[in-house]
Amino acid sequence: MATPSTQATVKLQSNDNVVIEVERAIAERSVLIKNMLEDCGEVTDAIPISNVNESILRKVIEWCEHHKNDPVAAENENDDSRKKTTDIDEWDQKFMNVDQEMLFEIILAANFLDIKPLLDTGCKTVANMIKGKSPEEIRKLFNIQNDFTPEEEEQIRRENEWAEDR
Amino acid sequence: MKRSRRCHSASGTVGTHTGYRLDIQQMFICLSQRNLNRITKRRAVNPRARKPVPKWHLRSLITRTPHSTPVPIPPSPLPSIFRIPTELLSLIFAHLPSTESYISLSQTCTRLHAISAVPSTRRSFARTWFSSTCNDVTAPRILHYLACYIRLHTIRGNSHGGCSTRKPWGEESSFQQTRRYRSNRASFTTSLFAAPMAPGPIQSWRHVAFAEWEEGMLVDGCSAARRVRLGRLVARIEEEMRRGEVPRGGWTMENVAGVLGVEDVVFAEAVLGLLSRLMEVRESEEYWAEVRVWFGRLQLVRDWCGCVCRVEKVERGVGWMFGEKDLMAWRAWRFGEKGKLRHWTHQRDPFEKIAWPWRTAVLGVSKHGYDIYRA
Repeated sequence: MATPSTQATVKLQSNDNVVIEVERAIAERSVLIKNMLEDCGEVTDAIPISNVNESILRKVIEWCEHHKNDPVAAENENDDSRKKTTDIDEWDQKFMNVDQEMLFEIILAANFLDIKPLLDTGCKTVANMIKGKSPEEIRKLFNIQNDFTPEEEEQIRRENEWAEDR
Repeated sequence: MKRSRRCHSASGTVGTHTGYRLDIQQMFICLSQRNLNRITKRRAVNPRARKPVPKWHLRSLITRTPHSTPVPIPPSPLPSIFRIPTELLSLIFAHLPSTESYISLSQTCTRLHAISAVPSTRRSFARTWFSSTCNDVTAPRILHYLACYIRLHTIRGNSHGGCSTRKPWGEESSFQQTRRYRSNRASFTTSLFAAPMAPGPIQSWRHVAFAEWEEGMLVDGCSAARRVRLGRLVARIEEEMRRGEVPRGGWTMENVAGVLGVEDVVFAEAVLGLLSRLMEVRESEEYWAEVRVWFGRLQLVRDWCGCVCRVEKVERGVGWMFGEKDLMAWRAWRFGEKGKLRHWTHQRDPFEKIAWPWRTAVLGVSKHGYDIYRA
Protein backbone atom coordinates (compact mmCIF):
# COMPACT_ATOMS: atom_id res chain seq x y z
CA MET A 1 0.00 0.00 0.00
CA ALA A 2 1.33 3.37 -0.93
CA THR A 3 2.11 5.73 1.91
CA PRO A 4 1.33 9.43 1.53
CA SER A 5 4.99 10.23 1.01
CA THR A 6 5.28 7.86 -1.93
CA GLN A 7 2.24 9.18 -3.75
CA ALA A 8 3.81 10.63 -6.88
CA THR A 9 0.98 12.71 -8.30
CA VAL A 10 -2.16 14.46 -7.17
CA LYS A 11 -5.22 15.57 -9.11
CA LEU A 12 -6.48 19.11 -8.89
CA GLN A 13 -9.93 20.09 -10.05
CA SER A 14 -10.60 23.64 -11.16
CA ASN A 15 -13.91 25.37 -10.60
CA ASP A 16 -14.86 24.63 -14.20
CA ASN A 17 -14.46 20.91 -13.45
CA VAL A 18 -11.22 20.30 -15.32
CA VAL A 19 -8.97 17.79 -13.60
CA ILE A 20 -5.23 18.35 -13.89
CA GLU A 21 -2.74 15.80 -12.65
CA VAL A 22 0.50 17.20 -11.24
CA GLU A 23 3.53 15.95 -9.39
CA ARG A 24 2.96 16.00 -5.66
CA ALA A 25 6.15 18.00 -5.08
CA ILE A 26 4.89 20.68 -7.45
CA ALA A 27 1.44 20.81 -5.89
CA GLU A 28 3.01 21.10 -2.47
CA ARG A 29 4.36 24.54 -3.32
CA SER A 30 0.89 25.48 -2.22
CA VAL A 31 0.75 25.47 1.57
CA LEU A 32 -2.99 24.85 1.39
CA ILE A 33 -2.55 21.65 -0.63
CA LYS A 34 0.48 20.58 1.37
CA ASN A 35 -1.43 20.84 4.63
CA MET A 36 -4.42 19.11 3.11
CA LEU A 37 -2.28 16.18 1.93
CA GLU A 38 -0.57 15.94 5.28
CA ASP A 39 -3.89 15.87 7.08
CA CYS A 40 -5.67 13.47 4.76
CA GLY A 41 -2.84 11.11 3.86
CA GLU A 42 -3.28 9.55 0.45
CA VAL A 43 -5.82 11.34 -1.73
CA THR A 44 -6.99 9.51 -4.81
CA ASP A 45 -9.87 11.82 -5.73
CA ALA A 46 -9.30 15.14 -7.40
CA ILE A 47 -8.84 18.02 -4.94
CA PRO A 48 -11.39 20.71 -5.76
CA ILE A 49 -9.80 24.15 -6.11
CA SER A 50 -13.08 25.96 -5.97
CA ASN A 51 -11.89 29.53 -6.47
CA VAL A 52 -9.63 28.97 -9.46
CA ASN A 53 -10.52 28.24 -13.06
CA GLU A 54 -8.60 26.01 -15.44
CA SER A 55 -6.50 28.60 -17.26
CA ILE A 56 -5.36 30.23 -14.01
CA LEU A 57 -4.74 26.86 -12.36
CA ARG A 58 -2.54 25.81 -15.29
CA LYS A 59 -0.68 29.11 -15.03
CA VAL A 60 -0.12 28.64 -11.31
CA ILE A 61 1.06 25.06 -11.88
CA GLU A 62 3.49 26.37 -14.52
CA TRP A 63 4.94 28.73 -11.91
CA CYS A 64 5.14 25.95 -9.32
CA GLU A 65 6.92 23.68 -11.81
CA HIS A 66 9.54 26.30 -12.51
CA HIS A 67 10.04 27.01 -8.83
CA LYS A 68 9.75 23.47 -7.53
CA ASN A 69 13.39 23.36 -6.45
CA ASP A 70 13.37 26.71 -4.69
CA PRO A 71 14.06 26.47 -0.97
CA VAL A 72 10.81 26.54 0.96
CA ALA A 73 10.69 29.26 3.61
CA ALA A 74 10.89 27.97 7.14
CA GLU A 75 7.69 28.25 9.11
CA ASN A 76 9.16 30.41 11.82
CA GLU A 77 10.74 32.77 9.33
CA ASN A 78 9.51 36.32 9.71
CA ASP A 79 7.83 38.29 6.95
CA ASP A 80 10.86 40.39 6.12
CA SER A 81 13.04 37.52 5.00
CA ARG A 82 11.00 36.94 1.86
CA LYS A 83 11.14 40.57 0.85
CA LYS A 84 14.85 41.04 0.51
CA THR A 85 14.65 42.77 -2.81
CA THR A 86 12.16 44.51 -5.07
CA ASP A 87 13.71 42.95 -8.16
CA ILE A 88 11.72 40.27 -9.92
CA ASP A 89 13.44 37.27 -11.45
CA GLU A 90 13.60 37.45 -15.27
CA TRP A 91 11.55 34.30 -15.74
CA ASP A 92 8.92 35.60 -13.33
CA GLN A 93 8.79 38.90 -15.19
CA LYS A 94 7.96 37.05 -18.40
CA PHE A 95 5.52 34.84 -16.54
CA MET A 96 3.74 37.89 -15.17
CA ASN A 97 3.63 39.59 -18.54
CA VAL A 98 -0.11 38.97 -18.89
CA ASP A 99 -3.18 41.19 -19.05
CA GLN A 100 -4.45 42.82 -15.86
CA GLU A 101 -7.39 40.44 -15.53
CA MET A 102 -5.11 37.45 -15.43
CA LEU A 103 -2.56 39.15 -13.19
CA PHE A 104 -5.19 39.82 -10.53
CA GLU A 105 -6.57 36.31 -10.97
CA ILE A 106 -3.08 34.91 -10.34
CA ILE A 107 -2.75 37.06 -7.21
CA LEU A 108 -6.13 35.81 -5.96
CA ALA A 109 -5.23 32.20 -6.73
CA ALA A 110 -1.84 32.54 -5.02
CA ASN A 111 -3.58 33.97 -1.97
CA PHE A 112 -6.20 31.20 -1.95
CA LEU A 113 -3.64 28.43 -2.46
CA ASP A 114 -1.26 30.10 0.01
CA ILE A 115 1.79 30.35 -2.27
CA LYS A 116 3.57 33.31 -0.67
CA PRO A 117 6.43 33.76 -3.16
CA LEU A 118 3.96 33.86 -6.06
CA LEU A 119 1.73 36.28 -4.15
CA ASP A 120 4.72 38.53 -3.50
CA THR A 121 5.80 38.37 -7.13
CA GLY A 122 2.29 39.33 -8.22
CA CYS A 123 2.09 42.25 -5.80
CA LYS A 124 5.56 43.41 -6.82
CA THR A 125 4.49 43.31 -10.45
CA VAL A 126 1.49 45.52 -9.71
CA ALA A 127 3.70 47.82 -7.60
CA ASN A 128 6.15 48.14 -10.49
CA MET A 129 3.29 49.07 -12.81
CA ILE A 130 2.44 51.94 -10.43
CA LYS A 131 6.05 53.08 -10.06
CA GLY A 132 6.69 56.63 -11.28
CA LYS A 133 3.08 57.30 -12.27
CA SER A 134 0.89 60.21 -11.23
CA PRO A 135 -2.52 59.58 -9.60
CA GLU A 136 -4.23 60.34 -12.92
CA GLU A 137 -2.03 57.89 -14.80
CA ILE A 138 -2.74 55.19 -12.20
CA ARG A 139 -6.48 55.81 -12.57
CA LYS A 140 -6.18 55.34 -16.32
CA LEU A 141 -4.06 52.23 -15.91
CA PHE A 142 -6.52 50.43 -13.63
CA ASN A 143 -9.72 52.08 -14.83
CA ILE A 144 -10.31 53.63 -11.40
CA GLN A 145 -12.92 56.35 -11.09
CA ASN A 146 -11.92 59.48 -9.21
CA ASP A 147 -14.59 59.69 -6.51
CA PHE A 148 -13.06 62.54 -4.50
CA THR A 149 -14.92 65.82 -4.26
CA PRO A 150 -12.79 68.87 -5.18
CA GLU A 151 -12.69 69.79 -1.46
CA GLU A 152 -11.45 66.34 -0.53
CA GLU A 153 -8.82 66.48 -3.24
CA GLU A 154 -7.56 69.77 -1.92
CA GLN A 155 -7.50 68.42 1.62
CA ILE A 156 -5.51 65.36 0.56
CA ARG A 157 -3.07 67.53 -1.34
CA ARG A 158 -2.49 69.57 1.81
CA GLU A 159 -2.20 66.39 3.89
CA ASN A 160 0.73 65.24 1.79
CA GLU A 161 2.59 68.51 1.58
CA TRP A 162 5.05 67.42 4.23
CA ALA A 163 6.39 64.69 1.98
CA GLU A 164 6.87 66.80 -1.15
CA ASP A 165 10.05 68.28 -2.54
CA ARG A 166 12.54 66.21 -0.66
CA MET B 1 -32.18 41.15 -31.52
CA LYS B 2 -34.44 40.26 -28.65
CA ARG B 3 -32.35 37.23 -27.80
CA SER B 4 -29.16 39.16 -27.88
CA ARG B 5 -30.52 41.77 -25.45
CA ARG B 6 -31.68 39.12 -23.03
CA CYS B 7 -28.35 37.39 -23.14
CA HIS B 8 -26.48 40.62 -22.51
CA SER B 9 -28.61 41.62 -19.55
CA ALA B 10 -28.33 38.14 -18.01
CA SER B 11 -24.56 38.15 -18.24
CA GLY B 12 -24.43 41.68 -16.90
CA THR B 13 -26.39 40.69 -13.81
CA VAL B 14 -24.11 37.74 -13.18
CA GLY B 15 -21.04 39.86 -13.71
CA THR B 16 -21.90 42.37 -10.99
CA HIS B 17 -22.12 39.63 -8.39
CA THR B 18 -19.53 37.06 -9.23
CA GLY B 19 -16.97 38.61 -11.49
CA TYR B 20 -15.73 38.65 -14.98
CA ARG B 21 -14.77 35.02 -15.60
CA LEU B 22 -18.10 33.62 -14.65
CA ASP B 23 -19.64 36.35 -16.72
CA ILE B 24 -17.93 35.03 -19.84
CA GLN B 25 -18.85 31.46 -19.06
CA GLN B 26 -22.48 32.30 -18.42
CA MET B 27 -22.68 34.24 -21.57
CA PHE B 28 -21.06 31.51 -23.55
CA ILE B 29 -23.37 28.85 -22.18
CA CYS B 30 -26.27 31.13 -22.99
CA LEU B 31 -25.07 31.53 -26.56
CA SER B 32 -24.28 27.87 -26.98
CA GLN B 33 -27.69 26.92 -25.70
CA ARG B 34 -29.24 29.30 -28.17
CA ASN B 35 -27.26 27.76 -31.02
CA LEU B 36 -28.25 24.33 -29.85
CA ASN B 37 -31.90 25.27 -29.80
CA ARG B 38 -31.52 26.62 -33.28
CA ILE B 39 -29.77 23.46 -34.47
CA THR B 40 -32.28 21.11 -32.88
CA LYS B 41 -35.19 23.18 -34.24
CA ARG B 42 -33.71 23.08 -37.73
CA ARG B 43 -33.26 19.36 -37.42
CA ALA B 44 -36.83 18.97 -36.31
CA VAL B 45 -38.31 20.86 -39.25
CA ASN B 46 -35.84 19.59 -41.83
CA PRO B 47 -37.20 16.47 -43.44
CA ARG B 48 -33.75 15.60 -44.76
CA ALA B 49 -32.40 15.28 -41.26
CA ARG B 50 -31.39 11.64 -40.91
CA LYS B 51 -30.96 11.28 -37.17
CA PRO B 52 -31.17 13.41 -34.02
CA VAL B 53 -28.08 15.17 -32.72
CA PRO B 54 -26.26 12.82 -30.33
CA LYS B 55 -25.90 13.92 -26.70
CA TRP B 56 -22.11 13.91 -26.76
CA HIS B 57 -22.24 16.34 -29.64
CA LEU B 58 -24.46 18.71 -27.67
CA ARG B 59 -22.06 18.52 -24.77
CA SER B 60 -19.09 19.25 -26.98
CA LEU B 61 -20.89 22.29 -28.32
CA ILE B 62 -21.63 23.60 -24.85
CA THR B 63 -18.10 23.09 -23.63
CA ARG B 64 -16.24 24.32 -26.68
CA THR B 65 -13.64 26.96 -26.03
CA PRO B 66 -14.89 30.54 -25.54
CA HIS B 67 -12.52 32.11 -28.08
CA SER B 68 -14.51 30.51 -30.89
CA THR B 69 -17.46 32.79 -30.14
CA PRO B 70 -17.53 35.95 -32.24
CA VAL B 71 -19.61 37.91 -29.70
CA PRO B 72 -17.61 40.70 -27.99
CA ILE B 73 -17.08 40.37 -24.23
CA PRO B 74 -18.97 43.07 -22.30
CA PRO B 75 -16.78 45.25 -20.07
CA SER B 76 -16.60 44.31 -16.40
CA PRO B 77 -18.54 46.78 -14.25
CA LEU B 78 -15.88 46.82 -11.50
CA PRO B 79 -12.23 47.80 -12.14
CA SER B 80 -10.23 44.60 -11.97
CA ILE B 81 -8.00 45.98 -9.20
CA PHE B 82 -11.01 46.13 -6.86
CA ARG B 83 -11.78 42.50 -7.30
CA ILE B 84 -8.93 41.70 -4.99
CA PRO B 85 -9.64 42.06 -1.27
CA THR B 86 -8.44 44.88 0.98
CA GLU B 87 -5.66 42.87 2.62
CA LEU B 88 -4.12 42.15 -0.78
CA LEU B 89 -4.41 45.81 -1.82
CA SER B 90 -2.57 46.57 1.41
CA LEU B 91 0.13 44.10 0.34
CA ILE B 92 0.48 45.96 -2.98
CA PHE B 93 0.98 49.18 -1.03
CA ALA B 94 3.67 47.41 1.00
CA HIS B 95 5.60 46.52 -2.15
CA LEU B 96 5.66 50.03 -3.63
CA PRO B 97 9.21 51.16 -4.30
CA SER B 98 8.99 54.71 -2.93
CA THR B 99 6.90 57.08 -0.84
CA GLU B 100 6.14 59.01 -4.03
CA SER B 101 4.37 55.96 -5.46
CA TYR B 102 2.66 55.34 -2.13
CA ILE B 103 1.21 58.83 -2.05
CA SER B 104 0.25 58.75 -5.74
CA LEU B 105 -1.68 55.50 -5.30
CA SER B 106 -3.40 56.84 -2.19
CA GLN B 107 -4.60 59.87 -4.17
CA THR B 108 -6.45 57.90 -6.83
CA CYS B 109 -9.75 57.21 -5.03
CA THR B 110 -11.38 57.12 -1.60
CA ARG B 111 -11.02 53.38 -1.12
CA LEU B 112 -7.28 53.30 -1.79
CA HIS B 113 -6.87 56.45 0.29
CA ALA B 114 -8.58 54.74 3.22
CA ILE B 115 -6.35 51.66 2.87
CA SER B 116 -3.21 53.82 2.69
CA ALA B 117 -4.15 55.59 5.93
CA VAL B 118 -4.36 52.41 8.01
CA PRO B 119 -1.34 52.24 10.37
CA SER B 120 -0.70 48.59 9.58
CA THR B 121 -0.41 49.39 5.84
CA ARG B 122 1.98 52.27 6.53
CA ARG B 123 4.12 50.12 8.82
CA SER B 124 4.09 47.22 6.44
CA PHE B 125 5.29 49.53 3.65
CA ALA B 126 8.12 50.86 5.84
CA ARG B 127 9.15 47.37 6.91
CA THR B 128 9.32 46.16 3.32
CA TRP B 129 11.06 49.30 2.10
CA PHE B 130 13.79 49.14 4.73
CA SER B 131 14.36 45.41 4.31
CA SER B 132 14.43 45.54 0.52
CA THR B 133 16.26 48.84 0.01
CA CYS B 134 18.66 49.08 2.93
CA ASN B 135 20.58 45.92 2.08
CA ASP B 136 24.05 47.42 1.58
CA VAL B 137 23.54 47.02 -2.17
CA THR B 138 20.94 49.65 -3.00
CA ALA B 139 21.37 51.68 0.17
CA PRO B 140 23.32 51.33 3.41
CA ARG B 141 21.74 49.01 5.92
CA ILE B 142 22.49 51.44 8.68
CA LEU B 143 19.74 53.75 7.40
CA HIS B 144 17.25 51.48 9.12
CA TYR B 145 19.16 51.78 12.32
CA LEU B 146 19.29 55.55 11.88
CA ALA B 147 15.53 55.75 11.34
CA CYS B 148 14.89 53.71 14.49
CA TYR B 149 17.29 55.82 16.40
CA ILE B 150 15.79 59.10 15.32
CA ARG B 151 12.28 57.92 16.07
CA LEU B 152 13.37 56.78 19.48
CA HIS B 153 15.00 60.11 20.18
CA THR B 154 12.16 62.34 19.08
CA ILE B 155 10.55 61.62 22.42
CA ARG B 156 12.23 63.39 25.24
CA GLY B 157 12.97 62.19 28.72
CA ASN B 158 11.61 59.16 30.46
CA SER B 159 7.98 60.15 30.67
CA HIS B 160 7.44 58.56 27.27
CA GLY B 161 9.83 55.75 27.89
CA GLY B 162 12.42 57.45 25.74
CA CYS B 163 16.13 57.69 25.91
CA SER B 164 17.73 59.40 28.88
CA THR B 165 21.15 60.47 27.76
CA ARG B 166 23.80 61.62 30.18
CA LYS B 167 23.58 64.96 28.47
CA PRO B 168 20.00 66.11 29.00
CA TRP B 169 17.91 67.57 26.26
CA GLY B 170 18.04 71.32 26.00
CA GLU B 171 15.78 73.73 24.28
CA GLU B 172 18.43 74.42 21.70
CA SER B 173 18.63 70.81 20.72
CA SER B 174 15.62 71.10 18.51
CA PHE B 175 16.12 70.67 14.81
CA GLN B 176 15.62 74.33 13.93
CA GLN B 177 18.40 75.45 16.24
CA THR B 178 21.15 73.21 15.04
CA ARG B 179 22.72 75.61 12.60
CA ARG B 180 24.91 77.16 15.22
CA TYR B 181 26.89 73.95 15.33
CA ARG B 182 27.66 74.07 11.67
CA SER B 183 31.30 73.66 11.07
CA ASN B 184 33.11 76.16 8.86
CA ARG B 185 34.76 73.44 6.91
CA ALA B 186 33.73 73.07 3.34
CA SER B 187 34.29 69.35 3.20
CA PHE B 188 31.30 67.29 4.10
CA THR B 189 33.44 64.36 5.16
CA THR B 190 35.94 65.95 7.47
CA SER B 191 33.46 68.30 9.04
CA LEU B 192 31.39 65.36 10.13
CA PHE B 193 34.25 64.38 12.25
CA ALA B 194 35.10 67.86 13.42
CA ALA B 195 31.64 69.01 14.40
CA PRO B 196 31.41 67.14 17.68
CA MET B 197 34.64 68.83 18.65
CA ALA B 198 33.52 72.28 17.67
CA PRO B 199 33.22 74.83 20.48
CA GLY B 200 29.86 75.06 22.17
CA PRO B 201 27.73 72.70 24.22
CA ILE B 202 26.73 69.41 22.69
CA GLN B 203 23.35 68.35 23.83
CA SER B 204 22.74 64.97 22.38
CA TRP B 205 23.45 62.53 19.66
CA ARG B 206 20.36 63.65 17.83
CA HIS B 207 21.52 67.21 18.01
CA VAL B 208 24.82 66.47 16.34
CA ALA B 209 23.25 64.18 13.79
CA PHE B 210 20.82 66.87 12.73
CA ALA B 211 23.53 69.51 12.69
CA GLU B 212 25.57 67.36 10.33
CA TRP B 213 22.61 66.67 8.19
CA GLU B 214 21.76 70.29 7.94
CA GLU B 215 25.29 71.13 7.00
CA GLY B 216 25.14 68.54 4.28
CA MET B 217 21.98 70.17 3.02
CA LEU B 218 23.69 73.55 2.93
CA VAL B 219 26.60 72.13 0.96
CA ASP B 220 24.04 70.61 -1.35
CA GLY B 221 22.36 73.97 -1.84
CA CYS B 222 19.27 72.80 0.00
CA SER B 223 16.68 75.54 0.11
CA ALA B 224 15.42 77.08 3.34
CA ALA B 225 11.94 75.85 2.45
CA ARG B 226 13.19 72.28 2.22
CA ARG B 227 14.90 72.57 5.58
CA VAL B 228 11.67 73.81 7.11
CA ARG B 229 9.85 70.84 5.59
CA LEU B 230 12.38 68.43 7.02
CA GLY B 231 11.97 70.10 10.38
CA ARG B 232 8.23 69.52 10.09
CA LEU B 233 8.86 65.92 9.19
CA VAL B 234 10.77 65.33 12.41
CA ALA B 235 8.01 67.15 14.31
CA ARG B 236 5.48 64.84 12.66
CA ILE B 237 7.38 61.76 13.78
CA GLU B 238 7.61 63.24 17.26
CA GLU B 239 3.88 63.91 17.35
CA GLU B 240 3.11 60.39 16.24
CA MET B 241 5.31 58.97 18.96
CA ARG B 242 3.57 61.10 21.57
CA ARG B 243 0.15 59.95 20.43
CA GLY B 244 1.05 56.28 20.36
CA GLU B 245 0.79 53.95 23.28
CA VAL B 246 4.06 53.30 25.09
CA PRO B 247 4.82 49.59 25.22
CA ARG B 248 5.47 47.93 28.54
CA GLY B 249 9.03 48.59 29.56
CA GLY B 250 9.23 51.70 27.37
CA TRP B 251 10.47 52.21 23.86
CA THR B 252 13.65 50.43 22.85
CA MET B 253 15.56 50.12 19.60
CA GLU B 254 13.98 46.71 19.09
CA ASN B 255 10.33 47.63 19.51
CA VAL B 256 10.58 51.04 17.84
CA ALA B 257 11.49 49.26 14.58
CA GLY B 258 7.97 47.88 14.52
CA VAL B 259 6.35 51.32 14.38
CA LEU B 260 8.41 52.83 11.57
CA GLY B 261 6.07 54.32 9.00
CA VAL B 262 5.90 56.28 5.78
CA GLU B 263 7.48 59.30 7.53
CA ASP B 264 10.60 57.34 8.37
CA VAL B 265 10.94 56.23 4.77
CA VAL B 266 10.68 59.86 3.67
CA PHE B 267 13.41 60.65 6.16
CA ALA B 268 15.62 57.84 4.87
CA GLU B 269 14.96 58.83 1.25
CA ALA B 270 15.99 62.38 2.10
CA VAL B 271 19.28 61.16 3.59
CA LEU B 272 19.85 58.91 0.59
CA GLY B 273 19.08 61.73 -1.83
CA LEU B 274 21.50 63.95 -0.01
CA LEU B 275 24.23 61.36 -0.20
CA SER B 276 23.58 60.69 -3.87
CA ARG B 277 23.76 64.35 -4.75
CA LEU B 278 27.00 64.76 -2.87
CA MET B 279 28.66 61.80 -4.49
CA GLU B 280 29.22 62.05 -8.20
CA VAL B 281 29.72 58.38 -8.84
CA ARG B 282 27.24 56.54 -6.74
CA GLU B 283 28.26 53.01 -7.51
CA SER B 284 31.91 53.48 -6.70
CA GLU B 285 33.73 52.01 -3.75
CA GLU B 286 34.46 55.54 -2.71
CA TYR B 287 30.76 56.23 -2.30
CA TRP B 288 30.39 53.34 0.08
CA ALA B 289 33.49 54.34 1.96
CA GLU B 290 32.05 57.82 2.44
CA VAL B 291 28.70 56.44 3.51
CA ARG B 292 30.37 54.23 6.07
CA VAL B 293 32.33 57.15 7.38
CA TRP B 294 29.28 59.31 7.71
CA PHE B 295 27.20 56.80 9.57
CA GLY B 296 30.15 55.52 11.47
CA ARG B 297 30.69 58.96 12.86
CA LEU B 298 27.08 59.14 13.95
CA GLN B 299 27.60 55.89 15.79
CA LEU B 300 30.69 57.29 17.41
CA VAL B 301 28.92 60.41 18.57
CA ARG B 302 26.06 58.36 19.87
CA ASP B 303 28.38 56.38 22.09
CA TRP B 304 30.26 59.46 22.99
CA CYS B 305 27.26 61.44 24.11
CA GLY B 306 26.41 58.67 26.48
CA CYS B 307 23.14 57.55 25.04
CA VAL B 308 21.76 54.67 27.03
CA CYS B 309 19.97 53.08 24.10
CA ARG B 310 22.80 50.76 23.33
CA VAL B 311 22.05 47.78 21.23
CA GLU B 312 24.71 45.13 21.23
CA LYS B 313 23.00 43.01 18.60
CA VAL B 314 23.48 45.50 15.77
CA GLU B 315 25.64 44.03 13.07
CA ARG B 316 28.79 45.93 13.67
CA GLY B 317 31.46 45.99 11.03
CA VAL B 318 29.06 45.51 8.14
CA GLY B 319 27.81 48.98 7.53
CA TRP B 320 30.01 51.16 9.65
CA MET B 321 33.39 49.62 9.81
CA PHE B 322 34.90 53.03 9.93
CA GLY B 323 32.95 54.38 12.84
CA GLU B 324 33.93 51.33 14.76
CA LYS B 325 37.58 52.13 14.14
CA ASP B 326 37.03 55.68 15.24
CA LEU B 327 35.44 54.47 18.37
CA MET B 328 38.33 52.13 19.04
CA ALA B 329 40.70 55.02 18.51
CA TRP B 330 38.83 57.04 21.02
CA ARG B 331 38.84 54.21 23.51
CA ALA B 332 42.54 53.76 22.91
CA TRP B 333 43.07 57.35 23.85
CA ARG B 334 40.71 57.18 26.79
CA PHE B 335 42.15 54.03 28.28
CA GLY B 336 45.70 54.78 27.36
CA GLU B 337 46.04 52.00 24.82
CA LYS B 338 48.08 54.13 22.47
CA GLY B 339 49.95 51.18 21.07
CA LYS B 340 46.72 49.91 19.60
CA LEU B 341 45.94 53.24 18.06
CA ARG B 342 49.32 53.24 16.31
CA HIS B 343 48.69 49.74 15.15
CA TRP B 344 45.46 50.74 13.45
CA THR B 345 46.91 53.77 11.81
CA HIS B 346 49.57 51.60 10.20
CA GLN B 347 46.91 49.45 8.64
CA ARG B 348 44.94 52.15 6.95
CA ASP B 349 43.27 51.44 3.70
CA PRO B 350 43.43 53.91 0.76
CA PHE B 351 40.12 55.51 1.62
CA GLU B 352 41.09 55.90 5.20
CA LYS B 353 43.66 58.52 4.24
CA ILE B 354 40.92 60.72 2.93
CA ALA B 355 38.34 60.04 5.51
CA TRP B 356 40.40 59.53 8.60
CA PRO B 357 43.48 61.72 8.61
CA TRP B 358 45.58 62.30 11.70
CA ARG B 359 42.95 64.67 12.89
CA THR B 360 41.61 61.65 14.71
CA ALA B 361 44.03 62.44 17.42
CA VAL B 362 42.16 65.66 17.98
CA LEU B 363 39.45 63.53 19.38
CA GLY B 364 41.55 62.99 22.41
CA VAL B 365 43.43 66.24 22.50
CA SER B 366 40.48 68.56 22.54
CA LYS B 367 39.83 69.78 26.00
CA HIS B 368 36.18 70.17 25.28
CA GLY B 369 35.88 66.63 24.06
CA TYR B 370 37.55 65.44 27.17
CA ASP B 371 35.12 67.40 29.30
CA ILE B 372 32.21 65.89 27.53
CA TYR B 373 33.53 62.48 28.16
CA ARG B 374 34.23 63.20 31.80
CA ALA B 375 30.67 64.40 32.24
